[in-house]
Amino acid sequence: MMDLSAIWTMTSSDLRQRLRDKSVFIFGLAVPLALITVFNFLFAGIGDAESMGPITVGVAIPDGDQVADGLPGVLDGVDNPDISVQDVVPTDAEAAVEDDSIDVAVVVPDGFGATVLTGGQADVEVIVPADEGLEEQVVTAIVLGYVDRVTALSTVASAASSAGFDEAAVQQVVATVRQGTQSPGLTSVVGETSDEQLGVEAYLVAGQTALFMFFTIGFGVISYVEERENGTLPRLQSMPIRPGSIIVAKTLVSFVLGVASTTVLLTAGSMLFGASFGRVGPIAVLVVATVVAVTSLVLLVTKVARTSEQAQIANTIIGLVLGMLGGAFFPVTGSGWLARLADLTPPAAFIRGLGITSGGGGVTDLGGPLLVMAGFLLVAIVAFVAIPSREGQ
Amino acid sequence: MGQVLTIARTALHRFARDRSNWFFVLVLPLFLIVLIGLQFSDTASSGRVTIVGEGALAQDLADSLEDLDLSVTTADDAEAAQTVVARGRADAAVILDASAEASWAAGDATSVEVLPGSAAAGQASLQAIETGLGSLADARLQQQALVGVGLAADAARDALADVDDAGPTVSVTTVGDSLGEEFAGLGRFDLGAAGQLSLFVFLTSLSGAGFLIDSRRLGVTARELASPMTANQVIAGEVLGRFGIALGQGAYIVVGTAVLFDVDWGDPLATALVLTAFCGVSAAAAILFGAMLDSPNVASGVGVGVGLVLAALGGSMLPLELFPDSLLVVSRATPHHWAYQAYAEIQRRGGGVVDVLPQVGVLVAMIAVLLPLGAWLLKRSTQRAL
Repeated sequence: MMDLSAIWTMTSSDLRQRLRDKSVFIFGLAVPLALITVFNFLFAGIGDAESMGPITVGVAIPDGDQVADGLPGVLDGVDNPDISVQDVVPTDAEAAVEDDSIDVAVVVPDGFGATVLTGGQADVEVIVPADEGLEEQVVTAIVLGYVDRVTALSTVASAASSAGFDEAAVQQVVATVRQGTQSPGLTSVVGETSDEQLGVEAYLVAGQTALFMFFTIGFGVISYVEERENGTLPRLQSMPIRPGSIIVAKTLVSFVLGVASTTVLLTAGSMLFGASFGRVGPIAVLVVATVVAVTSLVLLVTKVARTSEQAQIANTIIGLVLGMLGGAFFPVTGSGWLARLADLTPPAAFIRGLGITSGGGGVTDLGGPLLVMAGFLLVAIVAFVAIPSREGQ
Repeated sequence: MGQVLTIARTALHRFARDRSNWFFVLVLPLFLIVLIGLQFSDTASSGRVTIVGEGALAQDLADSLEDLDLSVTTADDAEAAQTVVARGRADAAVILDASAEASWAAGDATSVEVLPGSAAAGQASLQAIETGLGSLADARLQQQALVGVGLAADAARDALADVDDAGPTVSVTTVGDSLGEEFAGLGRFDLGAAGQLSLFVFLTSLSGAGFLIDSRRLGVTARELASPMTANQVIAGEVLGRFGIALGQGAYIVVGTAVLFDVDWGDPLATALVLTAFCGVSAAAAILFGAMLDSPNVASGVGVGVGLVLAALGGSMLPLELFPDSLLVVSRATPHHWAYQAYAEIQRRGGGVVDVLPQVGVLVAMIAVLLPLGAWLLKRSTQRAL
């Protein structure tokens, strides 16, 4: 049974000391908020767009070209992005894209239909701005799809001719393919996925909160090593309290500082930058789990470190490496080994957890992130018990 | 001069004796450069699609999507693919289960499940996937049509392969200036290395301000001033020590990234000139910090904060070319901005010493302002109680 009153006295005394020390405010609040503000100015306009904007496509189709005249209709029928089609004179197409009067131009050359139907080659030109966006890429994909269909007719006619079929058989083959393209044999059914991604503003807040959590939490537990250095630890140990109470009190200080600074940063982030993280309940579970995992890591550091300076430096190094790897500054994307490794860090699990809660997820959806935190806690506890203490050295 | 060098040498010794500094100076910059290089090396594609399935259809679709300039990865199962898309690590997923493969192999009409991500890139990838599926359907249709008029399946495949490059084509023409052209020719790690060079040299210098505060707290600075040395000699020694640390780290990053990651730093003389001027600004800023603040803990916190904020504003985290105009104005007040411009001139446009003189001039002007200010504050600070 722990001596609760002694623990409370030590915890509250330490908390008062830490609050008097400006460095908690600097590392826990001022620096992360300053960084979030600057990053917000820099990156707010750069992240993934939620939806594509409307786009104007200028199309040049030769008069009476029956093969190409279906293209404007195909483009016009696309809803996402909202494509509006207008005619453009081939010679003006490039200039029109350059002066932004249209977004993309599609120029079908003269004699396209006749050339294609006789198995000849013709080139459809898609003119896009050099820094094309997603909308322009979509237009290019649609034009490619349309020309593919036309090519299918052209090449099958050539293949049939070269295989020695007579004109009637060639026409039959072309007719079969033309008919077949009306009801394609391979189609897509669009399903839905949940959205676990944070917006740019929310990501910046989550990333910096996850990174600076290491520093803030460090201020609590590392003071245990300071007490050892200053000679106040033996005095505390000589008091009529259980020996374990001291480290429990230090851990509690870290926990309180971690939860408080994380809560303030997430709240300030929501209010100042319009970041949205979802419901309070699941977020609270995630914050507590993350703070516990990080505290257990820092606790391990204090057991290994000889001096408080050493502990602080080791804590900073661990925090920076796990923070950067976990995506505190920029998300580690892709599905390679680096992303898998990054997933196992508490900052990555914290950011991912906030992504899940921001998408409406509850505590039961937080399985992955909570498992990472539990893993860290377990490893830290085992190592803490296994590694001999430096006390008395 | 002897005394100045002694003070500088002491500063270097104290810095080198602390082994943790080796991590921050030598390991962390390269770690970050690798992380950034690995991260941004593969972003040139038009979209990222992950495919679940191992059959012929999956392989054909992957080939078809790669032809459309999409980057294709595979996922183990539908659940993994959903997670990848939900987390934004792929723009869309295509699920090709055994029944879809069987139906396709049997020549039946087949539908496959596509999961586009919620962002605009998901919708754009969906369009590309539909174009890819259309190509495969058309190819099979051609084959079936030829078999329908009596050609053997193998002969039909050969006949189609022979005329593969017949028919119309689509070419894409770009107009206007491209940001891609600005960065063309830069290696995988080049841009990140130039940015991180400035970030770390400046950050390490500012963090080193704590050493100066320690010297003041312990009375070392006051005793130095009491010795037969002028105040300017003491300050020159401290500045030279910071400058040596900054230049050592900078040279290490330049040589290390050139050797390990093949970073092309261009004209060595021009790069050395820019780096030297930048290290001068960093050392002067460190003296200013060390003179203004009285607590090593606060100095280290503020140093990290200011160092990272200035680096972000100066283009070390995001290329200046992507900055909004209003922020570019603020950016010009940072030394990182001018170093970025100078390295861009050297690395991207083959610039030499003469080409970077304007940027070096600005950096020297910064030293001319910061150094006297720092020296004056340092002299005053020794009279302040700590």
